[in-house]
Amino acid sequence: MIVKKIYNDLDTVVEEAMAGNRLLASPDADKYSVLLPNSHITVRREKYRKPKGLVKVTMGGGAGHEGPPGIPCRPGGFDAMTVGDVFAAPSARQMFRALCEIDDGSPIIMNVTNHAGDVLNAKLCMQLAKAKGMDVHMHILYDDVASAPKGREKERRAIGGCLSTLTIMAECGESVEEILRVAEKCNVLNRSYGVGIRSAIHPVSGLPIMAMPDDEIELGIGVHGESSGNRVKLMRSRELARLVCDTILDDMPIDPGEDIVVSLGGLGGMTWMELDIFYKDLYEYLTGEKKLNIISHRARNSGTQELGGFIVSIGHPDEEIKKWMATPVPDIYPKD
Amino acid sequence: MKFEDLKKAILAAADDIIAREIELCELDSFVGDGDHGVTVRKGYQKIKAAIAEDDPKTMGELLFSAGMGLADTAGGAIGPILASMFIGFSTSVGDKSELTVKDLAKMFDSGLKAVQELGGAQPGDCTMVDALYPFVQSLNQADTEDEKAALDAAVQKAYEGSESTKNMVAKKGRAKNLADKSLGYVDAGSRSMYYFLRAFARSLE
Repeated sequence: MIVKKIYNDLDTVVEEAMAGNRLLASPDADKYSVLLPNSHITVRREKYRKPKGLVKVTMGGGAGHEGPPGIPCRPGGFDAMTVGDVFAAPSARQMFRALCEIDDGSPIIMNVTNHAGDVLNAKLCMQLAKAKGMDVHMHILYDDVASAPKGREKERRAIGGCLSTLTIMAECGESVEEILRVAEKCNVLNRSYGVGIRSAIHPVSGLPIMAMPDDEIELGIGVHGESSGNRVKLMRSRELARLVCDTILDDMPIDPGEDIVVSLGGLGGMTWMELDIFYKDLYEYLTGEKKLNIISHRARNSGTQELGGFIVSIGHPDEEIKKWMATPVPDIYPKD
Repeated sequence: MKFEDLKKAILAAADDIIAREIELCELDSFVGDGDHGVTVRKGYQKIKAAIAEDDPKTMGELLFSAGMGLADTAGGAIGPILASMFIGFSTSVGDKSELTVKDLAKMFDSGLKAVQELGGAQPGDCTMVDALYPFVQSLNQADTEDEKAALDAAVQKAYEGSESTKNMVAKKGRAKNLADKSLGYVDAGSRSMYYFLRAFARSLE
């Protein structure tokens, strides 16, 4: 099977992509973080590590979702980040190695997206870490309205979600209990919904992801193009924006006049023209008919190879979350 | 039971499972996807390799090393679940230099709890827990100081537990997708667990 993508060796796509992403994000990537040898683990450089006593925060997930060049491990961000293989959770051993690297006796919070493999391996990593006496905690992200009905929110997948509140709280020296309390509140006050439009090719297997007829789209897809079976005819942007917002707001009703945060995440195969048009329609519906007040928004287009589709997330932050959203990273790190 | 006995027991149990690859695959093919033998063979080979490489010197380290070896297994749930059993063993054993019957009961109980915490299986769900749970119960109730006698009695319970999966509807793992089609067949995971426990006990002879 011919995989028509740019690569050298299917066995090393993850390592090569990580290396290139770091180069594109340098010199800052190199300044703040380091990639551990023979691993998919990035940690902060010694100089930019949080002081002992502050809660450490890690993140993990599969590869194949590479975003624009970025620096996940730096002041204000994560302390360690572990990547698995393409669309596969990192192994417990890799996650444990990351924990060993940053452990200074302070509590550690592992962020885990709610997918079976991620949760299983993270739980095992917790057992390994506890056996070695580490003070490790797990925060599971869940937000996808399509993956479990109302009332069973904790069974939902994570396809969007927000971690900046959690990382800034850790920088400011909040206790692990406080951080976990607010992190769970962020889960409760955030909802996402995905729409699939055009198929992509799995970079290793060469097989199509989410193949579908030209005149159909799929509502409620997962972030890897997991099918929901909910196919509908292609519709105009304005109509789709209304449908997506209504799905989210039916699940999490928000009163007119309330502040919201909106995120539009193209999955890699959207054009910016499409995303621009769709965001305009989201904005007009949410601020117009729904009378909501968008205080912050974010859009990107990289998620799942060249998959055409997007995830819309709506957050409904309370005063406490808004306070943390506006808090800058404390001035405790070297300047240069 | 001392360090050398424990090491011998684990390596013997690993060899026993590795030699049963085909048998376990055949058993799994009735209700699962037929790869259980391959998965556990690979898993126990990793345990052997990890112990050879780490060269642990205490019982706690030995069991942790076995768990870490399995914790690298990508894909599927069996690798991580078996890993958690060894980590559970390791946590219980700590820096002890000798295991009495009571210590062994605690060790297997700790492994069982770790497995249940990770995979969520209860007795009766048609999984490896159906062999391990009665084994632990039997060890807990043992009124002998003789490790061999206590383990042998517990192995009999593990066998009965594994056999009882014939009457169970799978609630976990891939077999759950077949619902009541799992009736009449022994769960492959419970059988490989029984073989592990039996070989572990036999190594004491």
